[in-house]
Amino acid sequence: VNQEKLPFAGDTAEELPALIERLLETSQRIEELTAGEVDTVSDRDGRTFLLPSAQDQVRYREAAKQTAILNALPAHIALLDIQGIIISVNEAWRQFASANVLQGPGYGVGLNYLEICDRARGVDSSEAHQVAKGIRSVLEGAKDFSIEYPCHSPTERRWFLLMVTPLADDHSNGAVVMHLNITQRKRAEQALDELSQRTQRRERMLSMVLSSISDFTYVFNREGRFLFANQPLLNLWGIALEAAVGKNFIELGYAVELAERMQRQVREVFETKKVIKDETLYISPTGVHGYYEYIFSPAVAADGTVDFVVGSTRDVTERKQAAALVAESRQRLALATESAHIGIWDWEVVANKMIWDTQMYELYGIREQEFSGAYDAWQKGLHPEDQGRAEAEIASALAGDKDFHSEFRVVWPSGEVRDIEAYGVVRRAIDGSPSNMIGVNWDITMRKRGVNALRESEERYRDIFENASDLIQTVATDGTLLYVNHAWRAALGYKDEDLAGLNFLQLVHPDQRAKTEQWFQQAIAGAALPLVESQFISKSQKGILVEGSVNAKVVNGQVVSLRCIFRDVTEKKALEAQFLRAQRLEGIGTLASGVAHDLNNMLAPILMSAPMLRWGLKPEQFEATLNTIESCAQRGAEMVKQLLTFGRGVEGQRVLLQPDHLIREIRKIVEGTFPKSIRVRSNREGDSWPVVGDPTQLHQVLLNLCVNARDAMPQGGTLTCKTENVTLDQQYAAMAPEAKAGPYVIIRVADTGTGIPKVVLDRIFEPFFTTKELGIGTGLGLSTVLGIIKSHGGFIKVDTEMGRGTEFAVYLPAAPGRSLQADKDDSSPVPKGNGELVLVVDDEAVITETCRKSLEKHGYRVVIANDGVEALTIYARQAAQISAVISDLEMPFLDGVGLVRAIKRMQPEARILIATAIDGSDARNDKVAQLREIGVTSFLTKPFNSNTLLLALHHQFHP
Amino acid sequence: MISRVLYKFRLYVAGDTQNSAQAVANLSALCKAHLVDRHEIEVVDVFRHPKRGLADGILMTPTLVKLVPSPTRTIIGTLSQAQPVLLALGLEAIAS
Repeated sequence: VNQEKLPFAGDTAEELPALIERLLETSQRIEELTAGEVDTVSDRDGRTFLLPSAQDQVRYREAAKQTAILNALPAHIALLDIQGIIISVNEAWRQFASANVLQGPGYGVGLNYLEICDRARGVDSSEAHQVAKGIRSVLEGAKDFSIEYPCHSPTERRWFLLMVTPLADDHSNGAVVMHLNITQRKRAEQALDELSQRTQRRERMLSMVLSSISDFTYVFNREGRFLFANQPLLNLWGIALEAAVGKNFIELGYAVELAERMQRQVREVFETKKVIKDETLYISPTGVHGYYEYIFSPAVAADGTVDFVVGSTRDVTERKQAAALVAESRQRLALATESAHIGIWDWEVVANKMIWDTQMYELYGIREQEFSGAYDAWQKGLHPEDQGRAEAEIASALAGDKDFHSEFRVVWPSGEVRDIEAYGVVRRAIDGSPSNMIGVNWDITMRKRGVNALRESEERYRDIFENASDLIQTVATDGTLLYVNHAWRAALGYKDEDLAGLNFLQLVHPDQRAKTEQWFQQAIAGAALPLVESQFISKSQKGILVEGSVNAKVVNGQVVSLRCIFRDVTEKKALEAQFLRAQRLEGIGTLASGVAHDLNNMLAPILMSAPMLRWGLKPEQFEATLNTIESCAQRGAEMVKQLLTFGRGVEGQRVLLQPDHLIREIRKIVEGTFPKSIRVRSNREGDSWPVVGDPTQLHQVLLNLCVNARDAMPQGGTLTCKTENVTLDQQYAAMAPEAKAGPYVIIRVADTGTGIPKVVLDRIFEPFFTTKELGIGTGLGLSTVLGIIKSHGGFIKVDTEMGRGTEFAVYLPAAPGRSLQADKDDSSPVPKGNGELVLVVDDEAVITETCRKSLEKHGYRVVIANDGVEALTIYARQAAQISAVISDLEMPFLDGVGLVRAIKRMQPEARILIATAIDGSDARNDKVAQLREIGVTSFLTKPFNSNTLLLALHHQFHP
Repeated sequence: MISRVLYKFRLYVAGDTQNSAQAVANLSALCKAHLVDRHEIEVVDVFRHPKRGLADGILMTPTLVKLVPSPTRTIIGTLSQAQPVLLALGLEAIAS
């Protein structure tokens, strides 16, 4: 050490003690002079000095203040020096120490706290070692250290927080150790923890309980959003709780109207604190639908406001249905008793109280207020002669001998006497004594006295029958005439006395007898025949053609007689025949000009050849000329033969013929006579099945259709005649009333002409309807065609489009027994279903039933709806099971378009097949366009065959 | 006769040292006893405002200066001896 650098080196060493001496003296003198009443003195420069006594006081007071603060703290505080030795402790520490290892006179002051911690052994030693480590880190400059540790005494569980902070911020010259008893806080924390666990558990329990009840329970907040929904309700919605919480009705897919109503009610509960009860119809997103009764109740908080709204909903669908059923059956009973004029009475025997329904008062001819409601009141209304017996019967019923079943007369206050039949049963109490008697009364006056009335009514009917202009006969099942009316007798010339034992079949024309016997047997078998034909021979041997209906009279399931109502159609038939001939001649007339031209063409070579023969020719020329003449003459002869075909009579012939041959013949005529601007096409011959018919009449049909086709193509075009074999099944027949299941040959006559306007199309088959000029058409053409086709058991269909052309399709039944090929075609493999459930919707029961048969036969399951509304109900209930929907387009209430819309909303991927009489490809049709817009592309054009249906359905499943 | 003369005092102290604290207490008691509603006391801490003491020529604390009414009087000490203090402040006549 360099002595020169010390402040008090050298001479100053001697001066210092003197100065210190003076300092002490100075301060003692000032104290004396001021009597100790002064704290500071100032020199001339304003520097203030605290006098030593005042300095001591200040120091003492500061220390006292700090000690007081430290002692006031609940924490146990000890100050450690840089070594870790305890230099000071507060009051709390002292108290703590006295109960611990540090007990002793200095409460640990002077001990090294680090060593104490290091020495610790046993249960809490690891914490003690951590504490020592923490204190060392703070003494070495760390900011602070803290640890929570348990320090349980044998009697209580305790926790402490130990915090170590440096004694001074800038440099470490010790540390403050502070222990805080945090047992209270820890206990509070644990209690809170337990409470929250208990609360969670209770919440879980509550949720489980709520979910185990079948009713729906839920909670709303003020905005009408769900805070809770129990499991059954979540299942109904098909979502999880997390997804439902916070949503309102609209967001949960409720119908707008219902959502608004319930939202309003929730608000109302919040505002009025009143419980609201209501009920509604609801269809859930999962397709469940039913009738629900619900209650919204307020949950009122401590401050009196509504905290939330609790709801509870019960499915009352069954109750509603049951109530509806009861109401319905009660109504039905009331209707039945009312319409049958049956009175119901209930007599409480002991109380002698009789309750009557309104019918009873009518039966007894009195008003309600005139009836006292006692047994005597009833007894008084009886006829005096019947009173005793009726009362005896009542008594006998009460005694248990037999049920009460009686007939008696009542006398109305007006004096009128009515016959009553009564029936009653006795109800008994447990001890067997009669408690009450319930029964019915009805009026049998008419039955009793109705013989006259019946006779009158019979006479009335007989009168009508007798004077009818139709020929009416009643025959026994063996054909014996039982009754004929006046018109019958007049037409056939028989008198009543001639008829005894006469069999009507003997009066039938021999030609018609077989046919007549056939329908007669059918009628006896129970068939109602709306149209039968026959021909009678009158007494004067005149033929009388009749047509009419036959009905069987059935008694106890047995046909006892047949009633036939005939009309004399002899004249009508004659007229019809004339019409047919006239029409045919008209057809020939239209051909005449063409034929004349052709004949001339054929005659010209003959005429020209004749002079050449006269002139003499070379042998080879001679031969050629003869050939020409011969072939021309032959063609002429053929043409004449054709014309003659048309001149034949109208009597229906039935021969087996090939439609292809008919077409060939027609083609010959058409090609010879129609303008060359019309090209003719026909299919290959020999493919068509034979039909049974009249060749002349069928010629006439085809010729008529061809002539119409020609007239539709004034600018020329293509005329197509072709045949096609087809087998119609029950499915098809159900939709087309004129068709029967079986093999048919279709003859199509199509043109590429103008087409037929809609207004005209509806009337083309009407007699005398024509679009042709006066004198050109008679308007009989198509009506004749229709008549002939019908007489062949066939039907006709027209398909026309403006500007594109028209096709007439003539359906003729193929000859029975010759259509083996038909069966073969029918057996072509049809794709089968695999148990899929198909909803068939049509308002025609026949159609749904045939569809059901076809589908079930081919492996599908079927559920049927008779209109759109029913379909929708079924679909909503069974959406998950229903694999496809086949629906009619035109239906009452809810049509196909509406139905499809609704179904698509529930199930956008639903397979839907629309059956329609309109062509499904016709996008101009409004409904078709709408359906295409919502994604329906599959259409079935009615009528359709079972195979067509099955293929289309199969295509739905395997597109 | 009650004098309505207003007394203005300035007391120089050194923080909350014992003598200064005592002087403040004694002056307050004196004013409460003799100068109700007619005194103003300004306490000046020489540690906080050393220049005030210098300017007023104060050499020791506590020192009381009576500013008004004149004449100005200066008393050093704790003001514990009430009678001499009252006398020095010219309040003896009123008190007696």
